[in-house]
Amino acid sequence: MKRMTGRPVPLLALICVFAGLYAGTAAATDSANTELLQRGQYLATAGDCVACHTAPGGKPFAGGLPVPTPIGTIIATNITPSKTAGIGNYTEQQFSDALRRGIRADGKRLYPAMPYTAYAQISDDDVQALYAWFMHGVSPVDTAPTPTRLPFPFNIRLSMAAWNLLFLDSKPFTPDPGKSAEWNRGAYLVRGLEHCSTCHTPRNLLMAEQSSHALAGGEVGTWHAPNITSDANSGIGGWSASDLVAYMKLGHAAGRAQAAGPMAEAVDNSLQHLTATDLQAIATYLKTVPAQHDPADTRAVDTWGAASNELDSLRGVALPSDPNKMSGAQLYDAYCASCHQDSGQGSFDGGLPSLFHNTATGRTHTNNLVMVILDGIDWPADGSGVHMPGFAQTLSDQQVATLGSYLLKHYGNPAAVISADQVKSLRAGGAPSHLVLLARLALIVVLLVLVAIIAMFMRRRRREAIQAEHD
Amino acid sequence: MTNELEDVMASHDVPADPSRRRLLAGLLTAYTASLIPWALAQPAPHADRGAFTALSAILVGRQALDATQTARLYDALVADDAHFPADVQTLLTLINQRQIDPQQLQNVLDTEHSPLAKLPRKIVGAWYLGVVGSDEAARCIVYETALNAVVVADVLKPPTYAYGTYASWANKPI
Repeated sequence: MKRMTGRPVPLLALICVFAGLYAGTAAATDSANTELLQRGQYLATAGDCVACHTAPGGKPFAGGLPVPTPIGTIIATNITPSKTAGIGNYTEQQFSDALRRGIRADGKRLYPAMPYTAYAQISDDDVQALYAWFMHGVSPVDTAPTPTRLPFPFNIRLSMAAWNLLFLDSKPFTPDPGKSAEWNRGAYLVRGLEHCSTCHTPRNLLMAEQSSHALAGGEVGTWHAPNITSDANSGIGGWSASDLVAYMKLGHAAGRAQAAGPMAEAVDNSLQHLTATDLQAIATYLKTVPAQHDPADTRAVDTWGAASNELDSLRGVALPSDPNKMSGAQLYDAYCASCHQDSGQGSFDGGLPSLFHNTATGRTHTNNLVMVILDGIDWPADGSGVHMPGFAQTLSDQQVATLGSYLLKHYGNPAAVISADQVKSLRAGGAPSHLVLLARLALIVVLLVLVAIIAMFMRRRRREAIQAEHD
Repeated sequence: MTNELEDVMASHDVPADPSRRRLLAGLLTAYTASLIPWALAQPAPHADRGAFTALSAILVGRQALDATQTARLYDALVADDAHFPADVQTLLTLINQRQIDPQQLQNVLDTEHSPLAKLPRKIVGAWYLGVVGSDEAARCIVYETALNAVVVADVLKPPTYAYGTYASWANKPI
């Protein structure tokens, strides 16, 4: 009995000790996992994966959003860990290849609508964290969106291999030892996860970013992603770091600009969730991006205009029977003044911006002004909703043009113009792209040249053969 | 104050011929001049308009009036009533001569059953509400700069103008 009672005690103690040890390591592993997953989630937020890979009203990361591009509509894929419809079977290496080299698990190439040229900068550590979160932190969704079908020749995904040879720099970010840690962190985020250049750098005919014009401003569908280089007039050279941080955190910088269109989406989904340290780092880096000057910007784009109105021209005067003949002042009074106030000065608390000293009216490139009048500003992700209502259903093309011209004349760059045709085109989704036609023509030319070369070659062979017979 | 005076100085109907330039002072007596001392140096190229400016200033108790707004209200009031300029002249003369305290003016006219009794209400209504005419013929000549908005502009905005961010008007009042 003594032995009986004697033995279990150390055994029990041993079990307890092992169990304790096991629980200890498990807890340590758990907390390491939790930390990894949290980091992965933060990085996925910084990368704004959700913006493209979630359809409006759809499940997060289940894909299905049609992304219009100049070569056709690309449909974002399901990147949930579903084994049938998503990336559940991806190894970490396959995940990394898709993210940083644009190669899917089946070896096929991705279209660079997926910003893998920017994600190529992401470090191995961060890829690991992203992989962990996408595999364990995202709920699998077993529905696959319709696959992308682009017109010939862009349906040949292998052509992207050649494109990658030309335009993909697949080396991860290497810090510049001559710069501060903050600058390097900013550069890493701007060039990599935040993929700012995807929209803000102009593209060449082959739709690759023109690295010589980095962040000088590009086109995103009907919107213009403005110059965010350090140029004092065209870019953000006149902004303080705290202006930039405020813009990224709140979606507006008082007396300068507010985010609309795809940029509002970027702030709503991604930028506002970054830590203060990361936002500060991004601002520090952006302030050093080499200036790209647009000669049209004869002064800083956020310094035009002043408070003014034409109230005397409209009070006591009946509206014209044809709404398209309403004056700019009448349209402003009817649709804008309530919020932006009678002289465009904005609200007491600055919650509604002034229209002068505002990049929305200070640029000669006026598409964004038209787009924000048509679409307004909406932040669906963080629940704050409508920041500005859209007037696409209320105002005609002519009315938007008249109103826009009034805004430019009073509050913005008087050299800028807006036409009813421009509004019509933007309302319809922008001018159609001729890239597909161009590519096909280029192929025909290449084919003709090949045929000509072969014909010449054959003729020479025949001539040589005849000559040989004569000899 | 300085700005408002400058507005008045920059009157849109300054005469082309400076020799015909008259000052509002010519339309006032020492008594009325003491009510609106700022107006003494104001140009009054047009006696009727000048009288309207002086009478308006006495009635609404302001030390400066925007010249453009004065002209627009005057034009609207004249368009409704051809006798308006003559009535204004008569009432101004009455105040000039009898040195009537502006605070007592309405009382005096009402008690005496004066045919001019409607005039102060009409003018003050135009300045404060910005509305000229009644019923079908009512026109809102000024709104944001009507005096009912101006006198509280340090705290309040005219109705329909927002105070805060979009949709802040839907918040429950404190």
